[in-house]
Amino acid sequence: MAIVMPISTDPSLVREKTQSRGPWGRLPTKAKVGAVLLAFFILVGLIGPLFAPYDPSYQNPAPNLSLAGPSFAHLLGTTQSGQDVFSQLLNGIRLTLELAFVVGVVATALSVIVGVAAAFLGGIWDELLSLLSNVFLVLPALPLLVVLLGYLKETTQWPTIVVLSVLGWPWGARVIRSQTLAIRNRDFVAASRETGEKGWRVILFDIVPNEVSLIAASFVNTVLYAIGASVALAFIGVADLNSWSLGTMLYWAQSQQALTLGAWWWFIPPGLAVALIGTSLVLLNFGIDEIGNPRLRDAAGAKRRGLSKWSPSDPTPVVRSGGARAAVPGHLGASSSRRGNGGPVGARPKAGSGTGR
Amino acid sequence: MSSPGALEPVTPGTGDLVSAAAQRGELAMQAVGLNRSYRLGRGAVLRAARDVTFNLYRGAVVALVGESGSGKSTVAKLLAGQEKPNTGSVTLDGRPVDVSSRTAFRRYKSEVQLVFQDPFSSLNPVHTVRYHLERPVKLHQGKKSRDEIEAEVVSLMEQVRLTPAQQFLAKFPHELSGGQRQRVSFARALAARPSVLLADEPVSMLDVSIRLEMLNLLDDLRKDFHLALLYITHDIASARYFADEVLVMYAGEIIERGPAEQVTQRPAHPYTQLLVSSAPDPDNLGSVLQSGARRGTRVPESSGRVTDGCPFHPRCPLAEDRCRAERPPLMRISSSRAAACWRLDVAAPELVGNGANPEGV
Amino acid sequence: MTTVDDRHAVEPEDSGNGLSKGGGQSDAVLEITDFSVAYRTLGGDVRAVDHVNLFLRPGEVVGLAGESGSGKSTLAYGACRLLRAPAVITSGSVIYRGRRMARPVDILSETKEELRALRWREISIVFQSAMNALNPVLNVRDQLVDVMHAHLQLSRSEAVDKAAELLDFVSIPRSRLKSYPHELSGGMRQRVMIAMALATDPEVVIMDEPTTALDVVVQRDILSQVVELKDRLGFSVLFITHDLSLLLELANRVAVMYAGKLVEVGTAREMLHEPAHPYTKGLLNSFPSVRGPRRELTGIPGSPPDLRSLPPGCPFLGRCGYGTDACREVDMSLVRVTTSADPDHVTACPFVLPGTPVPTSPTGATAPAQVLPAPEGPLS
Repeated sequence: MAIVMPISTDPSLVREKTQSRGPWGRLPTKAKVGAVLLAFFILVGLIGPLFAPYDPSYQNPAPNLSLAGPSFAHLLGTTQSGQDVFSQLLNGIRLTLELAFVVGVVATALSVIVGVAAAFLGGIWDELLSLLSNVFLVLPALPLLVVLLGYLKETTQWPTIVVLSVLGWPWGARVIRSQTLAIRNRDFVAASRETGEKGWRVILFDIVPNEVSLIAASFVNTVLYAIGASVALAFIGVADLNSWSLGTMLYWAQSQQALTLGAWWWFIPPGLAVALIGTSLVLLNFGIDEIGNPRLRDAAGAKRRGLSKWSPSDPTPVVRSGGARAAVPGHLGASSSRRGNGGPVGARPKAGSGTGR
Repeated sequence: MSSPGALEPVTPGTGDLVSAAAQRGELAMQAVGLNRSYRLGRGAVLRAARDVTFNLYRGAVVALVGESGSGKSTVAKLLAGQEKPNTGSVTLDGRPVDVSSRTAFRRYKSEVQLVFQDPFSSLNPVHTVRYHLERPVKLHQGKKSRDEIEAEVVSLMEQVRLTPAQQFLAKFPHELSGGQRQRVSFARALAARPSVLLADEPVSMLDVSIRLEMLNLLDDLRKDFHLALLYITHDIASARYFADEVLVMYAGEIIERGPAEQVTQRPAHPYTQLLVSSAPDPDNLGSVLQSGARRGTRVPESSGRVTDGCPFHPRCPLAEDRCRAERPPLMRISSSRAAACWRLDVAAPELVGNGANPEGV
Repeated sequence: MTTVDDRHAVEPEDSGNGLSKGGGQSDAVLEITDFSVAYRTLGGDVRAVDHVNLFLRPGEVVGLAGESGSGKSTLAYGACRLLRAPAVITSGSVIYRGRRMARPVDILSETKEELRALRWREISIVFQSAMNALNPVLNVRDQLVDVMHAHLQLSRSEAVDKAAELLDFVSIPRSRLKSYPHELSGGMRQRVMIAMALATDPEVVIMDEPTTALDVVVQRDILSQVVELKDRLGFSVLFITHDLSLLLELANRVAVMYAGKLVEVGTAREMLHEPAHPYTKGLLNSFPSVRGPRRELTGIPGSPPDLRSLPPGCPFLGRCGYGTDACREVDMSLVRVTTSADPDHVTACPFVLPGTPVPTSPTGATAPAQVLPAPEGPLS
């Protein structure tokens, strides 16, 4: 059994130095890796298609260019019908990210509105909005999309975007609702009303700013969900097959037997791209979680400080470094206050600490 | 005064009883017959406040003393306009209080402010001190220019002795100590320029060594702004130190009231006597150690259930049949003291018997 | 254990028979010596407890008083090695000499398994917030039986009987065995915690602010009960609280901590009537009394210390009415208060005695003259 014992009950005294670093400095390594990776893909998505050597739909009739492996002319080879895989990939990344971010923004916005409203208004509104969330939560994406695609004549990503947004908000709404309920009961919200603030101001300026990390995590989660769902749907053909997203690439690759024909350059790059984008989002989310949840931060912090072998059920470690560093390095006076009375002779101060840091 | 030996019930609020606080200033606020009940599961009803009546006067401190569950926080919420009483009313400057509409609530907040107990959660962690103070200034002090707002905010910081003001204004709540945060809470309440300040256990979550400083600050603010202060606490010792009048609450009712010094030095109601004798007594060193065998009778705890008769009777050593059957009204002990007990002649004979001297301390 | 403090004029008294200030006695059931706990933060180590000596005799109630940042809870939990990372113990020993132990044991060098045998059976803890410490989904009987199963070899029926007996100890009706924590009042929950702590007949019971959330009437009642049980069962109590006035009624001896260091240790009587350390004096001056004359009180000016950046010398300097420049050289070792009736009454301030009046010159480190000439030996 272990106890988290703050140094004092006064939080201002335990505030770690990490909080004085900027948001970037506070992110743990995995989040930084995720962020960099995601940034790379976003960059590719933004400017990549400008550099695409070919029109991804252009079908080069030359027979030797059908299912050709990577070469200088075609960095990632060609498809069955002579299309350049590399160009398709660049466009695919852009389209997939576009779709995913739009869904992320719309769905997160909806979930924040519904979640906060349900928690703040309470009563019958809470019941109704929760009911709404639950209904949407169980709606199946696949049939809905099939139906919609059947009706709509345009061939763009919009049906997919709409469906995924409409189905992607309930989960976040539930989470945000719980968080808002918890915040709503805190004294500073009551104090804000006591000051005379109007309801909408309390929501917008007092409650929501306290949920920023939750909303960010929810957004990242939704983007991840959108990528996964859109690729999966496209893979089975329920998408606009005339546009080049990573999912449709995989669909065509699969339907043209790329795997059996050994045309790895056709399906591995899009698959890998999806996997890497997803990974980057997950890593980023870990970091956001850690910022938001102090307990995760403690555990991670403990690991970082070389106490990695310690688990919460272990007793407090005893590290007899007689010369443990003073809190403010170079502050000579502080080290002299270490002298207690009648200590065992062995506890003489030594230069340097036992476990280096 | 009534003849000694025959106690008369009094109805507070009708002028029967003079409040010790009245001498300080004009009447600011009246709570009249406040009743508030909550419905709990399974048909049980919690009477959080029952027939609560008292006055607040400008420049005076009235202490509401009671343990948790006594209803004192409910009274604070009723006076702050956060909740409506089931019956009874609150008047402010003679006019009944109406907080039904948003504008009416805002106007009310310009007169009556509540200071919260927990300094660690009553400030929003994402906003600076400056934001916390600017908002009420903007909301309650009319149209002001940027400079005027800044000047006002700085002045508030100086009033609560958080200086240098500029340094503190830029800080976030987690960068301040508990005492500093509570000062910000006071400043925020003052920004609305209220005439009544309701302080719900303002120092109980602070370090002991700084509590007195904070109470002294509250006292200074009371004087400087001629505030009517309601001091809610469970610590009867600090109430004695700080307040003009003390109202002792038990199970939602006011069971004793009177000048602070008199009520604490010569308590009349058995519950007040129990409270006073339970407070640590430096002159009776080691008393708990020595009395490892019980000191007096063991007092069972409040079960929280509504009973007929006197709310204290399950725990009262003097309880009789009448106490169990009939709820005692407040009985006059002197012109400014009263206690709700049928057995005052036994509980406090020197106050109510023949030759009693209730005014003496 | 002796030490030679060669940097300062004041020498801690060496009584020669193994006793050091506020420190060990060979009959102590719990002897904490030169104990330090630090929190490893990214900004450096924060000394939450700094070279503290404290001992507990059998059947004694020792009060540990302090406010935010004093380190009192860290000391108690650290001595049982219950603190979580990033806390580390950086020095000292915690010797336990229970009656059931074949030989004295240093808790700081025990393994996890050895500690488990020690915990609760020998040293138990009553936590501050019973609502958080009791399992909300187990009823009282099951929680007590759980504790006994973990530490004693009892059959189920024996354990249930013992559980009922324990409730008798703490004056809770046996009918409440089946109740859940949320069905009990605050005082009852705390009593269940006490029953749990006593379930295995420990030698040492550490109580961490056990009555803070309760009303004074219930508090007094529970504390009398604890004392009665202590007399009957013979355990010692380490009572942690911020309420010094309570300790003066309850404890045999009191230790006051500030900024991780002990500043005064002595009997309750001496601490109340003849406090030596300025912090203790200030603290006693922070409790308005219900009885007695109404005095003008000020508490202690200033704020609790920031453990991350303690100034050199005495951490109380900034708030001390007696402070002078010489205080920056103080090393906080405990010296005897020679005017005290208690031979073990010690203080960390070498300049101020119980009778020393507060200087009328402006307070603070820049006050020109010292209150007393710098002593060259033990205070006389």
